[in-house]
Amino acid sequence: MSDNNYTQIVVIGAGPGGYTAAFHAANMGLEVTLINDEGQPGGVCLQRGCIPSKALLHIARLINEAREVSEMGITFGKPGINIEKLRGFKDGVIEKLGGGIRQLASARKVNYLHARAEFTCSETLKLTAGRGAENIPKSLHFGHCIIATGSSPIVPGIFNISDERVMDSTGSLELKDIPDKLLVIGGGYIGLEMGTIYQALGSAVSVVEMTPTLLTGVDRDLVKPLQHRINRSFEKIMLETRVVSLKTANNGITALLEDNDQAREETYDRALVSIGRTPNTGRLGLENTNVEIIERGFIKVDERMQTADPSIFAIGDVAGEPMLAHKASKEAKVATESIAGKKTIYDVACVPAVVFTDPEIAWAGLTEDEAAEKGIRVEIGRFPWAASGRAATLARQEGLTKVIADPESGRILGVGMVGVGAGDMIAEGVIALEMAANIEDIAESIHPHPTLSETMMEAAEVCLGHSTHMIPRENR
Amino acid sequence: MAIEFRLPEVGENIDQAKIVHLLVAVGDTLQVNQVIMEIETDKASLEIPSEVRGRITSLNVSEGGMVDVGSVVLTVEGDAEESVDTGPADTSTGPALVEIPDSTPTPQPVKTAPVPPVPEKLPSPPIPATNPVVAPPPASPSVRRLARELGVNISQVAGSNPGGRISDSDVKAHAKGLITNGHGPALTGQDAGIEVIPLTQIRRIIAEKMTRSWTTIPHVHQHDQADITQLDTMRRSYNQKLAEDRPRLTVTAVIIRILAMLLKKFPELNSQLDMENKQLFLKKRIHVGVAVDSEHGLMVPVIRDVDRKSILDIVQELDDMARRTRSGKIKPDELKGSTFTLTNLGGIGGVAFNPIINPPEVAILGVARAERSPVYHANGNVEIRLMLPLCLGYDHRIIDGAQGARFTRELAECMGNPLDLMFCI
Repeated sequence: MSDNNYTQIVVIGAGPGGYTAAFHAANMGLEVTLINDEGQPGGVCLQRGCIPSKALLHIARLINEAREVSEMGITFGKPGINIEKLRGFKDGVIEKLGGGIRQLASARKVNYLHARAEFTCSETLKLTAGRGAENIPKSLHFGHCIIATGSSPIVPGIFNISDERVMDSTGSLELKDIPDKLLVIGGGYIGLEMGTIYQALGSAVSVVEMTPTLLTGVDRDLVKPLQHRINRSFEKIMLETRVVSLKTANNGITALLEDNDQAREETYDRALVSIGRTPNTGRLGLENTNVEIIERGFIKVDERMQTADPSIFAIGDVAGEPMLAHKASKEAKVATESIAGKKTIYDVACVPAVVFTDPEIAWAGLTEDEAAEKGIRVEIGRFPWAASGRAATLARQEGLTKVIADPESGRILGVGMVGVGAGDMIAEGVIALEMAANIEDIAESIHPHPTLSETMMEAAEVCLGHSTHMIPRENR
Repeated sequence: MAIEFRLPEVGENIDQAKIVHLLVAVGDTLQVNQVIMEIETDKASLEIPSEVRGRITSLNVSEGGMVDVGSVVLTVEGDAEESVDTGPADTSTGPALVEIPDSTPTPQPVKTAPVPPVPEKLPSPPIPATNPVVAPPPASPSVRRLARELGVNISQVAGSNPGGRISDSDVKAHAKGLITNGHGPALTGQDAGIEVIPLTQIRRIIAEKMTRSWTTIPHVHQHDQADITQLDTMRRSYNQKLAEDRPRLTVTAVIIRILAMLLKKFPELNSQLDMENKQLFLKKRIHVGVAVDSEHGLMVPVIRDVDRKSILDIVQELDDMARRTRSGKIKPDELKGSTFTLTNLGGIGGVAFNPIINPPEVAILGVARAERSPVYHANGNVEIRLMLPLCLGYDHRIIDGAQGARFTRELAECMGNPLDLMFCI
């Protein structure tokens, strides 16, 4: 190939990290090539993660609400589910957003290549054209490269039994059918979100989790309302239980479950393995560069997202936990601005996390468990949604909003929420943390009535000891 | 539990340091990373942060005194578990923290917590307390970006808002402070391309003094040339007759002797300005400071009462002082009290330079390298002469151009005329 195959910046991977990096670089006037190993951009987030799961979770919520509204005297019939049409809606959302990204790319003159990329050295990539892709050069020299190749679900060998009824998150989002009985292996956020979808669509969902808790790492008071709800709606929650093996049976998948030395076999129509994700760093030819790989396959980066190889940057899931799309997008901006010579570093105060179950759980900054673990003294203001007018009108009063603050300065160190719409509301907590707001700042700001956002203000007031809708501790 | 804090390794081959400032006292409650003292070694000066916390029960050092590496600096009363392991430790540096149970009569080290060596090139002092993950500096993203762009380390900015929150004006004020203090935009030692070297006491003094001089004194620089052809011939033939171990007669010595005479004639150049009380001090005694390049940096030993000394006395004294300055044996008193400074860079070379006045003096003489140059006489003849470039830097608040020029011209004339030389020497 001739030497004119040169690009100032090449981005490998077109997920929320990769395409943000490409667009941001193009906005700054740099010449950008965006390489993606699938035809449509968007990465796991758009193609088989955040977006399709949220489309389906929206449907799940509608189904559940339609059923629950009978309590208020409105009765709908049993929902008829046309799975082809539902799949069509989900795929339509993906198609639409994917097309949007392609449009945004071409409007910025980002050169989008459907190909697989492998480093041959610190300045050159070898390209292998994707299926049906045309005009793909065999190699590409670059000034700087941003690796944004994301992550893949982990499926351990014992679960890999070559039966399509054993699915990872990707398979479960394809929505091949609605199994009568679904086993979800792993009580993390992916398992619980997919479980919520299948439960609403009519599956009897059983969750098996090795550790004693669902959503390890999340404060217990935030998990409790969710656990309480799914204890009723799900078939079974099996904690401290291991799946020893999966076997293909005539009528489904047989799982050998083990808890406290007791083993038993159960048969399910499908099983979902959702025990974690691993960064995609294995097939990139990184051994031909100076990029350093650290534990669990992550790429070592500095605060500018630069790897040990000065011409190569890494962002998103390959650059470390938490593997979340919005972290990748932020890192994308840091990497591109660093390459453009700006003094940008990744110095965020927090990365918010949302579990899109029903109710949603969201948190940002310091958690209560982390504070206890690290011996950090904190003041906590908890506002249960039982005291929220808005939650009462929604008939969803199981929620909780809490703020965690420094007892001396009043500075907000963390915010946690559980309840409907918590995922959208956590943004206020993020702003509070980034702006280094203190409790009074939140308590003194007018929050619109009647909304769930008032719970944030009231939690801050609890910290100050004068919540309007809660009786002060000393009076109780 | 009594915990001892010992002076950690402060650099290669350094086993002793001088305590410049002691910042704690018995009874103080010491925090981890709190700066205990500022020390100076012959290579660097640095701050020693505490590795322990608790109430100081004994202090074994004093300001101005010396402290040995590994010796006990202080003892605190506190919980042993409160001492922090500040990270990966190099055990080769030896124990610096020894925990002593109260009940044991003879101090018996029961546990040694290795402490990382304090690097000789110490970056900016560690920022105490708060967990960086949990509580980064209380500033909004836009303020943090502003700080980065201005080269300000946000963790060193004091926030003026409730809860210590840092505003954009706090960052700007901090940046302004850095600039007026003569610092450029702050760099951090985290950049692999940058090596951090703390300023030695000497460097700091020079920096402060020169900044004050250059920013407060309106300098004028008068350039001239002295024809030292004959002087040089005389000097060389005199030196040839000297025994090997006798100090040589140098141009510097000759100039000092001439200055003694000239500064009497031009007393304003041997003065000190008191702007506050709007008066001028004319100094009757003439002490000439001579700039000497030592491995510790620029030093200016002072030859006192040059007008009462013969040229041979001056030669002798100059040789002795320069030697002791270079070997670091000059006494602090001998570096003080000059009324006029001479700096001769001729030994190194160069055409000309503008020296900066050494406050509180009002003038300084710079001498560059003598070169053979063609000199055109009025009769049209051209002669090759050895010309010595001179530059007088003077304070225009006191000395006017004509006076500065006259002084310099007379100096040049005197050096060029052996008869004048005889009279003045």
